[in-house]
Amino acid sequence: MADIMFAGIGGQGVLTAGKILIKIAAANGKNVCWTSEYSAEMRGGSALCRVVVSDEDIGTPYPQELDVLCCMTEETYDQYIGSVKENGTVIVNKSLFGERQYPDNVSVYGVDAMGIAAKANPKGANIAVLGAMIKATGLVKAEDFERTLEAYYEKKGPGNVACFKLGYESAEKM
Amino acid sequence: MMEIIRTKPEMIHQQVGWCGGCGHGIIQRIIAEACEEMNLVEDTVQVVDIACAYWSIDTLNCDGIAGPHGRVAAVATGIKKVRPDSNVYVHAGDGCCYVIGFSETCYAAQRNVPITMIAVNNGIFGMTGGQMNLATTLVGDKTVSSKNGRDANIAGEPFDFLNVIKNYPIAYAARGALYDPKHINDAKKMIKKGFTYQKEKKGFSIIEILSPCPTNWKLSPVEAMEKIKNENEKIFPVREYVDIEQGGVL
Amino acid sequence: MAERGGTFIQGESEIASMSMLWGAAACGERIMTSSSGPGYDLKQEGMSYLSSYRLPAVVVDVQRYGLGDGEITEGQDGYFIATRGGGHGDSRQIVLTPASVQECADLTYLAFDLAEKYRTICIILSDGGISQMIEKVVLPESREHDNKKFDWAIIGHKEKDAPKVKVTNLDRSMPYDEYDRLVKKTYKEMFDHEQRWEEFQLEDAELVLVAIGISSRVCKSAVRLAREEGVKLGLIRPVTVWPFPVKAFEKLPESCRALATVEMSLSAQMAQDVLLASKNKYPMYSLLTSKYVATPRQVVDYCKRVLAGEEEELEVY
Repeated sequence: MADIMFAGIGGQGVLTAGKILIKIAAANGKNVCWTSEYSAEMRGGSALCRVVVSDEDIGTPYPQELDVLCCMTEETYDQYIGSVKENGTVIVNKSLFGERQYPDNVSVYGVDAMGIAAKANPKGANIAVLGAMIKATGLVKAEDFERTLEAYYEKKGPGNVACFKLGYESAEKM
Repeated sequence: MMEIIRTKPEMIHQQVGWCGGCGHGIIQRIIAEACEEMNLVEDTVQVVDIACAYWSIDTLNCDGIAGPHGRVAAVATGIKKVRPDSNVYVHAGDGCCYVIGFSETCYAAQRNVPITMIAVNNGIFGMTGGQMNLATTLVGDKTVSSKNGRDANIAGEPFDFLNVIKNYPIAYAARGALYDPKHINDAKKMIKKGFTYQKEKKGFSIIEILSPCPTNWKLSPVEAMEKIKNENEKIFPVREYVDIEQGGVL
Repeated sequence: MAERGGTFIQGESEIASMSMLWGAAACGERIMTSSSGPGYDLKQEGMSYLSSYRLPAVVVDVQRYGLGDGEITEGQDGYFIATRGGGHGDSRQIVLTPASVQECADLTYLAFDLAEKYRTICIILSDGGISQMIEKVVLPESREHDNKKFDWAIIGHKEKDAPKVKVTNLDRSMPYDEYDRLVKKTYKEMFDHEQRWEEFQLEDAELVLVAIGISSRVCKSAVRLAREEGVKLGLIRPVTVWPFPVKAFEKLPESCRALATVEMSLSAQMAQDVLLASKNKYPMYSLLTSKYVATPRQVVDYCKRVLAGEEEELEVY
């Protein structure tokens, strides 16, 4: 149904973004699979996770072609944009991207994830990207997503839900 | 008629095949006496190593388990964790406890698992034919793997393991000997103290016993006992090292 | 574990952990240990002892790749060490290979039951791919274990005249010849009754893939991809690799022209078992990807070359 990658640098919450997504997709009856790849350092190295959401039995957990690519940094965008399928969706963290041209055969959405995080929750840039991703793909209903997110972050307060909403609302096609 | 004041413990219900003059038989006997006097036979699990101590598994009428070689402290730890009310003791040699099983013994002590280890220091690998024991063979002693006597420049010096283990947070450590009735009685008291602290869940106890191996030492049984008294005990003093009731390290 | 009434011990070494299991298993408790690569080597000594007295235990080997320290990433080159007995001496243990997180849970339950049923070690042979993914899992219901139900176990306090249990090598509670017959019979029974496997799109397959663990997941995708491209692949995924599911190879479809394993190793390991199972009736191929997880594209392209006669048949050595 969807082969997704969240990529960035360690500490930006890309692994967590994937974990939140599979929790919600699984709760909605989908089969899910999450795998990660990261360099040895816990902060500052490269980090990515692959998420497969499917109605059928999931085969390889390492999809080579992506339906959705979410990038926190330009480096990871440059590395993985070639893996995105024709008509696939790409979410970019505009706050860390300079002026650039995007390919025509994919839909690229931008979100000012760091700006949103600065307003709602300093650690919530990943959630803002998730919001933009849900807006762009319609993978899960926004209300369902919000509800699960509230439960996920029950102890940490409403900052993350706010990040999600702002990301969802402000995502714009590039 | 003379009054019978001591009989063979019933716990010893079979013959055993140790060499003449070996100390293992005396040690097994004082273990059995300690179990009977403390009414522990039905709760005892013996853990023997697969060297000379192994023969004790057939001889004593209690639950028992053997080997792997050197791992007895870990095996006893596994048992004690799931059978905390059993009297779990180890009967094994100095090769098992101090050489191949050094790490296992130290970490049973580090965890302070309430088991009782009875380590037989006879200064040699007996079962395998009399090779040098890195921990306990005295410098100068001839063995099949130190033909000209142990050379400290090559094999290092023996060391007092109880001096190592006393720094761990344990309940009891002591060294006994067997060369006269007084020392045999003292060794038995040490074993009983170990069993008592185990029962009271006070922690790990180890009793090392200086024991003769006339066969591999190539001495008569009497000469072997004399050697322990005159030579081995000088390096390995007979005394208590740790007693939690007396404030810990002594 | 403590919250569930169990005990967890962090061993000082794999050797010590396995010896602790030897003690706790002798008491009839449900016990397990896990490791990978070099650590699994160190467990071999204790495994041989457990097999000798026929103590039930579950040992998990999450394979990492390579010789020596190798890599800390996925691998499947521990196939032989897992399936050819544990440690010295001639032992056979049931080896289960999960291919999903759900199966990791399900097979662990099964492993304990089989271990007790046959008084054997049951190995769960996983790999770094399967063990480091997150998937949906429904945990089976917890069950109580009666640790007093085995007459061979050290159960604690005994009445004075009750027979005592001696846990020794080769189980000396019976004459050796009786032990010998019993062990051989057990191995045969496990072989006859415990073969497990999954078949995927086998009915009309021209080439049947055989793979376990992470490679089997890739192969499942490869079968789908190949069929989109008009190539009829099928998959046999052994769930037990000892006993190897030879029954799966007794009724291959008439369409089958060749067999191919996909393995993360330097030499063809599982392929040897496939050859024995298929009695050499089919041309046999192996795609050996060593430290890399295959991709579905790579597998499909390989299979196309096999069917076109452009790949060399496997040479077993």
